[in-house]
Amino acid sequence: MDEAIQNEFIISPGVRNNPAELIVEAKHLSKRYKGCLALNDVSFDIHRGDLIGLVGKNGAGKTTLIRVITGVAHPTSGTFSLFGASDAKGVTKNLAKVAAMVEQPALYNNMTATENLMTRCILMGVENPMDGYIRDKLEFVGLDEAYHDKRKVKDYSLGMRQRVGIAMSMVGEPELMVLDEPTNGLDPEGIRQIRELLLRLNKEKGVTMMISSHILSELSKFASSYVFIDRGVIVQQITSDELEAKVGKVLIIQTSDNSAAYQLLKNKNFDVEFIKDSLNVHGVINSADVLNLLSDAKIHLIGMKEEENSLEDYFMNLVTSAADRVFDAKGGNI
Amino acid sequence: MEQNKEKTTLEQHSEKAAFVGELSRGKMHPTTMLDLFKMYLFRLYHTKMVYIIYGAIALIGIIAVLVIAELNAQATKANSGTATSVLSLSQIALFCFSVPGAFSTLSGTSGTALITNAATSSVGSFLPLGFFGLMVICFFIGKDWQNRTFRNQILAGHGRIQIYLVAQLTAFLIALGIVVTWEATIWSLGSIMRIPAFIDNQFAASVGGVTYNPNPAGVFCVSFFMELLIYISLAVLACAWSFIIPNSWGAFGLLYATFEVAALIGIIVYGLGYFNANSYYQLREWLVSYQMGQFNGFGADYYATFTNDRSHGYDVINTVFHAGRTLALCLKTAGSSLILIGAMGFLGGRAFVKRDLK
Repeated sequence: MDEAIQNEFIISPGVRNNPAELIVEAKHLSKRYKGCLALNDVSFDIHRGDLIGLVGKNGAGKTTLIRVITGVAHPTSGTFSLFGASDAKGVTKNLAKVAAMVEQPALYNNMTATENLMTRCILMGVENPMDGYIRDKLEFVGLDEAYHDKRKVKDYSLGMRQRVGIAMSMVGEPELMVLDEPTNGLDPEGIRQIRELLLRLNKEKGVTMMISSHILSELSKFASSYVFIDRGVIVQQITSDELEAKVGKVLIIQTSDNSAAYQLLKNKNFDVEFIKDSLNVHGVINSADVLNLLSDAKIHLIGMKEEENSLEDYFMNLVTSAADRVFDAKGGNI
Repeated sequence: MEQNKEKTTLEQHSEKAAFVGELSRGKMHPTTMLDLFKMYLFRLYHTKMVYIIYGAIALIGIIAVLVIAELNAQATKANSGTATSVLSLSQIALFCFSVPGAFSTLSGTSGTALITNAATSSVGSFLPLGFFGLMVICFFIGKDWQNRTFRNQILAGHGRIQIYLVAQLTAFLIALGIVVTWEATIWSLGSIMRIPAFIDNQFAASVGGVTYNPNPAGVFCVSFFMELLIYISLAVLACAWSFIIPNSWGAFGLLYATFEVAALIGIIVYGLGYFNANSYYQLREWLVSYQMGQFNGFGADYYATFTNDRSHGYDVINTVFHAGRTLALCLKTAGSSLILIGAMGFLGGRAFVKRDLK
């Protein structure tokens, strides 16, 4: 991808819950698998207290990004720092402050839930974990009965395994939790419980979180900011407030001169964007304001409609728009 | 968004679940390699396969001791009731090191060699007990690949080199466990059943009118510790393959293939002996498969080699003996074992450090 275009997509992060401490700083990360560029020059920051939703389609690069920042995979190029350390030794040491659940919980199938938590406790240096520590973690994820359960986790349902995975993530009081599809396989009640649990960890304990999902409606219930990723490129990083302004009612207009109309509305501080052959204007309270502006500038209105823009619509438009711009930059026609 | 609504839900959340602030934090200490090692031991304790293999080895040990006791009893009966032992515990003590592809070159023994060979070398050839131990290593390490649990270790702040070294240490313990299980079984049960540790002239051989009769305990000790060294190097090999190939069966298959290739090389070198009889055995002494065969058969100090004799118009293989090879063989065994440990240990570690985990 053309670097100029690509950098343009990486919108300067406006997401700063707590600008004080940078937990993860990724710079120009790329990851190439055999013949496939899974991550392409990705740069982003995570600050303490953030609850970031990592959004992308299947194969967009979400899991690869998570694998790289959790030390499971090595980046092909680029650097990242973790809790201020960017050297290999420092990153390795600081990974102890990170908990991650990538794709599916990493559990020893031949062990019970308690034994699995025990392995994590031993690894993390928790002393006397059987004195209520493991029980607390299991209770916290709603698996009270699993403490004395003799069943191996291989006999658990996907949802129960997911909960055990989250309980394991909480061992050692991590400062950053990176969860890939944490509600995968859970029933609606389970999803609600996990959501509340993650919110509590974030709000009460200040645990910073990055949660990937392709279920946007679910993410929208707790994320404070979003990173949109597509084809290995971060196409947008945005706060939930900014996103809220963009979803909801959207005015879609087609004019005789879309470029001029875009400039005009942009100059008047409207949140406007090009989507194919039309303009999407977000956060418009009174559509007459837009029409009057266009009329005064002698720009003829060809068509206009109002739509309710869901988060999914917004994401799809964003991804389509990004793809088109890449196509145009490579010599495609406008 | 709907966060305000969520807060309301939160407030209504069941009091049953402990709130974050009320969770017992647990006392924690900075993690070290010891924690990692403890975790591996914890896993080992919960690995069923370990108990199955160790149990099977103990069972085979019991059967072997009972067979020896029965054969000795028959020999005593045939000797009109005079206590006679044709088999000793030392003859089966090294079975725990048996792996496929190792030559079985049991030296000539006194007395009822036929029975002895049937009960000892044959069992060693067909029941590679040591190989089962190496199999446990492959499958134990393979579980971490299968369950993707290496990432748990990495996300506890443990470096990949640390993880690899601890896995190697655990592999060593697994291998040692096989040896301890076997030896404890046969020596304890054998002692109870009054089977002798050695029999008269156990390692005696007569060549060209000269009788060679070394101290049995000395030969046994040298053979045992050399076999142990080789076995430890094979445990390193098994662990290294398990880190190079992220699949239990793949690593196990490669381990088996390694033994077969080593045996093949041994055969080739053996074949070279026909062309250079004076030096081939010296070359062969570097091969692990040959070393295992020699020590397993207590034949370190004397071994038949062959020369061509074309005086008959066709090849005749004459047997000659090379007494006093023990020191050379021990040094070469130590050398080749250390080379194997170093080379495979390095390759396994390098593969793990470079690899992207699942």
